[in-house]
Amino acid sequence: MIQLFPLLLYLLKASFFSTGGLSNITSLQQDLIGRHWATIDDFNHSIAISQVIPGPNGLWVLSLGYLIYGYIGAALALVSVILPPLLVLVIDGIYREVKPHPWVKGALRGISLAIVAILLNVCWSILQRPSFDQRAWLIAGGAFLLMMTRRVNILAILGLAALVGLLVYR
Amino acid sequence: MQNVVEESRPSLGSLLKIWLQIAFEAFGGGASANLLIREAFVEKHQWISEDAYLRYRDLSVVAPGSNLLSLVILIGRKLRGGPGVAVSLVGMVLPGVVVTMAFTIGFSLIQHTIVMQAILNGLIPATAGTALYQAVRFSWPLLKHERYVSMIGVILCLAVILIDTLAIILFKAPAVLIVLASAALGTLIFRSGPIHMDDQEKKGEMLKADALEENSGSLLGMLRGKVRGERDRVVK
Repeated sequence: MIQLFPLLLYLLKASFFSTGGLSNITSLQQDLIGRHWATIDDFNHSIAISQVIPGPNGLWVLSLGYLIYGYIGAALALVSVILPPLLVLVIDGIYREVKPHPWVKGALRGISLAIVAILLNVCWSILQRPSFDQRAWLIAGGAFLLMMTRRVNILAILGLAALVGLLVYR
Repeated sequence: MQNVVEESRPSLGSLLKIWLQIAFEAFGGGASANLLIREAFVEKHQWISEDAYLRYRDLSVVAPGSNLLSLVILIGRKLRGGPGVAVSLVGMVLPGVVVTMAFTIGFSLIQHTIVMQAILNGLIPATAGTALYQAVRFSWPLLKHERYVSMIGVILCLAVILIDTLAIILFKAPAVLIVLASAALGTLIFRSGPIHMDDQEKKGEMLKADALEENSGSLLGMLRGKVRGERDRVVK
């Protein structure tokens, strides 16, 4: 049974300790899948949906909220998307004061590297779906290479991947 | 430096309209949105200067949660204060919320059909590819900065990424702990360098950063100093 207040706290915790739209995934997976409040498929579907919608990709969590607890879940997720970035108004003042200190820059560099690791884990966890085989890895590799060219629109890449899925897996 | 028309500010209505336009056109997350924001606010309307935009962008990277929303909040406050923040957030988030909900509700109705499962089997691995691309894109400026200074920094960066990744995958280390531990490790290893190196890639800047690092007594600074001393000795 999902409890709403702890759910909101987990959503907020994941957002407050991340920077960037997708970097809250790992924290949420650990908290929600661990409690059987969500499945890995809920995460995969939410992330997939978020890739084809306009606006901030941090809205993937809205989709997750809906899949696990309907409209209330989506509303809680929206709160967790909007509240943490407001802290930038506070940070703006503090950052000007502490920016010259060497330890601040070091800490920020360390956090940035952790975010990279979290994104790599997101990639890894998506490909751990039981039904995925070598073909899935090929699709992931193809999408990555097309993204790296910076010449193909992400929607075209995802559309192509959906078509490949339809032809290969149906 | 561009001639910025600081005194002309948009009305709340036109601010909302611009954010709605950007939100509808920005697919693929922060990169395309950043481009559109810059085009609209810095180049077309000149409501904020290039310097202010870059400062906001750097700040948004260190803020928690969505970087894009942090940037939107800072621009909204700069242009129209508190009401500007509210209007900007609504404009940037509303289209995404509506479309996300429509897609998710539609998806939950047909997710178990064979066709949808086949599409998902293609789409989901592709999102892993886009996540990997984001990881590369995020790490690129950091590694580039280190490369200008020395390879030791690159190796240390890659080592931290590898250790963090393995700690999460193999030992299920909590993501929050990883972030905090990496921040602590970062204070020991790295003590200089801008957060966003894209705009400050000049070698001179990097060498200045290096000198600062050596003087700050960080682990990386000491290692670099040692390597440079060794190199100078060989040259002599």
